[in-house]
Amino acid sequence: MRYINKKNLSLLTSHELINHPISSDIEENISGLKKILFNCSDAVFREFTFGSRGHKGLVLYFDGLTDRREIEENIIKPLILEIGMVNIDPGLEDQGHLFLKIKNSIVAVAEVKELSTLGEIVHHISSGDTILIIDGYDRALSAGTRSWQTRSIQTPDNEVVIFGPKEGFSETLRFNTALLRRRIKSSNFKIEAFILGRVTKTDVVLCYVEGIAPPGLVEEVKARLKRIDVDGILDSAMLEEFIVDHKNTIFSQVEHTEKPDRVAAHLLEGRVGIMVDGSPMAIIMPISFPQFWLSPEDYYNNYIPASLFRMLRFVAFWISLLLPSLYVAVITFHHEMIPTALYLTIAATRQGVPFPAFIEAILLEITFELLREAGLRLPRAVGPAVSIVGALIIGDAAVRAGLVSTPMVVIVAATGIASFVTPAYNAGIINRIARFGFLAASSVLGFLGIMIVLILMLTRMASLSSLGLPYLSPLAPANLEQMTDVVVRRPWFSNLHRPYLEGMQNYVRQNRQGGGEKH
Amino acid sequence: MPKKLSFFIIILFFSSLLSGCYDRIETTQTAICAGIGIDSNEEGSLDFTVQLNKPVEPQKPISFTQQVENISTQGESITEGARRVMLMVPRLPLWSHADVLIIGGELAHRGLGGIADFFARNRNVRHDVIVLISPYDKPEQIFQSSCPLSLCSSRGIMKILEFQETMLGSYTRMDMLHFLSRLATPGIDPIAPQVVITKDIKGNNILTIEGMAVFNGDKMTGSLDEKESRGYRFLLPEKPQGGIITLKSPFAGCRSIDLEITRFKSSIKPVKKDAQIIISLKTEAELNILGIQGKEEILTPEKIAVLEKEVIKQITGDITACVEKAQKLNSDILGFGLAVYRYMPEEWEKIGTNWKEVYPEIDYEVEVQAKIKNTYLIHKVYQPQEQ
Amino acid sequence: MLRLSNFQVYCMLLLFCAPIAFLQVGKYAIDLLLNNAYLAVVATIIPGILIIYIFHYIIQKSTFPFPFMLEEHLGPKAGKIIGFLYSLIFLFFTSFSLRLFIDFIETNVLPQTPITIFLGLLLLCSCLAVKTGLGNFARMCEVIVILGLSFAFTIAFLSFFQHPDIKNLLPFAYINSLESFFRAVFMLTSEILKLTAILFLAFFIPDKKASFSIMIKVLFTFITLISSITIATIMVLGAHAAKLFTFPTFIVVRIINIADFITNLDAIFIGLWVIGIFGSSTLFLFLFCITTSFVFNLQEYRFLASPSSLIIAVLALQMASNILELNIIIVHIAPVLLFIFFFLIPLLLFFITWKKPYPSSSSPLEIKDHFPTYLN
Repeated sequence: MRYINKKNLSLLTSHELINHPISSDIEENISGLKKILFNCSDAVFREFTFGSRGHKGLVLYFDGLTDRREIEENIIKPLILEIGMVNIDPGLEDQGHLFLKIKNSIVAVAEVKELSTLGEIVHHISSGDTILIIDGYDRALSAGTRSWQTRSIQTPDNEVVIFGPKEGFSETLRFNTALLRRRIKSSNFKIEAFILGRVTKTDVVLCYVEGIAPPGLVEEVKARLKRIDVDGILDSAMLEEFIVDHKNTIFSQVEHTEKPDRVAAHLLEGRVGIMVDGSPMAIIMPISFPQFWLSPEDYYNNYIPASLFRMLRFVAFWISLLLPSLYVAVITFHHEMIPTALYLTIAATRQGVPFPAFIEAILLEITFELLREAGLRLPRAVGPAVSIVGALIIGDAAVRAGLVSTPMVVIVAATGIASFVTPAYNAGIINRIARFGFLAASSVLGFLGIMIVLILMLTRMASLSSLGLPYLSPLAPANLEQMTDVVVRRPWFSNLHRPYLEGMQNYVRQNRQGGGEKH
Repeated sequence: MPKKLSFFIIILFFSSLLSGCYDRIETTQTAICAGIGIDSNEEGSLDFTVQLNKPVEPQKPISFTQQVENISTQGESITEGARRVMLMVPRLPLWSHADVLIIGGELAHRGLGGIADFFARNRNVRHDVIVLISPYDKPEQIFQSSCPLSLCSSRGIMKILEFQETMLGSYTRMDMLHFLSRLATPGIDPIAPQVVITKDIKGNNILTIEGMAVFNGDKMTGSLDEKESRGYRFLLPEKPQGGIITLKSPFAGCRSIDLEITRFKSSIKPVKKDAQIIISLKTEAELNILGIQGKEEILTPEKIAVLEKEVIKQITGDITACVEKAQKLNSDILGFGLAVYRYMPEEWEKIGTNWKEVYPEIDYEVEVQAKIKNTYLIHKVYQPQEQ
Repeated sequence: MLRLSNFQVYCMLLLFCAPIAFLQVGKYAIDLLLNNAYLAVVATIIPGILIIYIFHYIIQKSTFPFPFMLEEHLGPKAGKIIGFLYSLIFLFFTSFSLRLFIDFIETNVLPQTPITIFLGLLLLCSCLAVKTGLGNFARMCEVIVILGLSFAFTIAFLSFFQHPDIKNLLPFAYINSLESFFRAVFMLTSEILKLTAILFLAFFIPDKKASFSIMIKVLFTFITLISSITIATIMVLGAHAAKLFTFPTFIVVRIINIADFITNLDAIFIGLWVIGIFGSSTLFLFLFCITTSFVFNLQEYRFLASPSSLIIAVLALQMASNILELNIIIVHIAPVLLFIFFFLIPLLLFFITWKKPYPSSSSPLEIKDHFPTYLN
């Protein structure tokens, strides 16, 4: 029984060892594990003896991922000091009685699992568990002692809201799922786990509310997730490119958010969320383009101001997309559209400017993008200084030097401000890129060029879908009930239905006759 | 797809940088045209004048003098004249910003048929240009004269015409579209206000509006004076409405009364009386008392009724003067023919072909109603202390 | 299989009929009837409803969508031959609508830009749209119609504030020659005949019985739109002046003035009109590609878009040497072609189907197996 394993583990390579079962000889296990964890300086091997008969034991963990106090207090100390208090039948010892006793009565940790291969051991210690191996048993105990230094729950930096919850996700998956579970206290709220990445073995979860999310949709996402075969997944945004319908496009087909309340709101509308361990961003699918104008805040504010803000954002969207190109089109092609007095002023300010309007606009736009990018990357302390130097000093100097005209500075600045109004960051990126296309087209054919690029953009957007949801819905295919919720924010009392998704069974949100709905 | 996309982007960017963007005109290469003037000269060709604005520097204090350049050319046609401007100005004039078109008296008398085609066909000159006739002076003299407090005389005269409509109510604007429309429509003739040069206190030449030129077909045949122009305005009310009436008082203790016209409407309709077509002209006006020069208390219901009668008399006088003058000049500026066509199309079939012979003889009846509504801040006549 | 919603079909039909008519038809009605042009527009309801009834009847009695129904009712040989003629007609109308638009742009907006640039760009857009497929194009149509229809009505609404003279509409119903009245109604009806596209589209909506109400809605939207813009044109310009201009609607847009500050909106109008024309010509291109693939028994239609665009470009350029010739095509040739192919042949189908029983399966899903595979 003791030497049932005839193969000598020390002869195997670490690659072969991974799938090897645990030997009942502790020395063999130790040498095998040391070989696997060769050069892993953070692995701690603590060997000890315990009990009246001097059993050999090994405690193994990665330093930094575990709570050392808990290991000392709840694993090592009971084994060494308190083993005598447990009544062990000596005759049954060899039949695994000791092992069971230790598992059931001695290790005082909530989560304990039995493992049987070296590979499992490695996976568990990498996740922060502590492994206990006892001489003479071909099984190991894994105790959940995960504890590591992490960012506490903070207000998300990128999605600042005035009304509503201010919690944001952090990098630890369990905390994030806990934040969601706290909001949806239903057994129908499912968090399915996957392990993706050949090397990284990253935990990925798929969240949805059963009964609301269309089953076909959930199955499709699962299938797409399982199809991924890559060495590592480090952030949820990496997953995005693997699972979206259309890959060659600037139009983002998922929504990224750091806010659990936003994820919960989407889950209640039948969408699915995907979260990745180590990433504070959840991605939500399927999403349509008009969704990017909606801020979660709208739904916590009174519906009348919220609707007005939403219209403001709608205007801001068009400004940030089209304003520079409209300006260039108007001053180089359609001079008659400007009122004469305004035209005289523009003509006077442009008098000394040596560049054509298009070049002027491109120069300023690129400068603005540079400043914006620099402002993001720079250390916090110098960031504001650079923006002030860039925006005020360069802008003013350029105007004084006669390189650019003042109206153009105003236009580019207004565009820049409008582009920050878009609540979703990745929607803002679409605008930032598309703006240059419009600018170039407007300088060739004026208004007509803008329209042709708009047609091309519309063609592209109409052909996109996110998990089968048409990208322009509810505008196209038109759905009047949902369209009202895009232009204005529908008051909650009349928001009777969930947005329709293909295959959705249960789309009644409110039951006006009283007595709630099924879920 | 990425390949195609990048190809497309490259094409787009290069084409936007090439100078061969056909219709592109940079602002710095443009000159803003404020007014266009046309007249014929002795040789029979056309004098073309254009008033070009100088750009206004935004931060400099504005001195209210003319900020314009006037360029005159000659050509067989307007197009030639307009293109000959390019020999003298190193910029492209933007005709679409023009506010006024000033037609010299000589050309107006000779006939506007040729130039009407140009303004209907040309896409650059807008149809909301105000048409003015200069009966005595050449358009270039008009452009050289100034309007006080205005940087540009053509825009100034346009604003004068606009403001006098609500404040004084003598003359009516005429834009290019309606001018062309009247020229093309049978049974109505064009009319346009006249611009003339006068002197200010310092003896400088300034512009003013005086009378309205009336046309028979495309030829100018004469002009209405101020009283007749008022009559015209009463019959064809245009927005904005307004204007004043100053009455000789019918009361002993009162010299004159000023009334403001707040709104008026009118209709021109043919009626049949004894197999004869008579044009019935109806006007309804609402007025407010703006000023009373005198001490007699006239603001009583009985005296107001007398006053209303007096107003009716005055308006009827204006209208009659206008119609008489128009018939004398054989110019159907009020659209009697059109009215016949609209309300009695069968009759128009008969008389439409020789309308110009029928028109001077046609009978008309005037019916005016006037209501005095308001007296503004005081409701009695102002009574100073007796010494 | 391709599925369209009722609203999508409505949008596609409207986009098919309205954009060119918006600029053109009112003008020809005014040419013929002066200030009573709007009466002809309103009178078009009667032939319109008759046509709709014929189309609806054919749809009810057919199992297959348009080019295939020719084979179903006329037999394989005649079906293919007429189908071939149809594909030529669709080709002609694609180039015709593009040419019309380009001539308009050339005369009014960008006179120095070469005609080929516009043609190339618009054909590029159309080809890309055809390649993305009919389902995606239907979605584009929705956006275009929502945008364009509201804009077109805004134009009509705004022009009622540009010093209109309501007396310009007088004398009421004084029509001196019935012939010109019927000619005007004929012109207008020929635009409505483009509803023929329903013979194809009706088979993709959930219930093809709904095609009647869709067509009625399209007809009434069309009539409202065209009559309001015609009335606005007559009121603002006067019938005699409107008769002078090539594009009176455009002149009305040019004089629109909002608060003395927003003026000269023609560039915006043209911009939005481009989208309308794009939709209209793309739909023709779709029909051309589908009909051609039917005639030659091809398994796919999308690849036809790019080669045919070359033919379209050449045809559009060679169609007429100047705008006067184009006007002759507009007034004399196009309505006749529309009448023959979009009215007489459907009428023939109507009489043929008269005796036929209703097909057993009315739901398109049930006949899915008989459908050409590429229509998905």
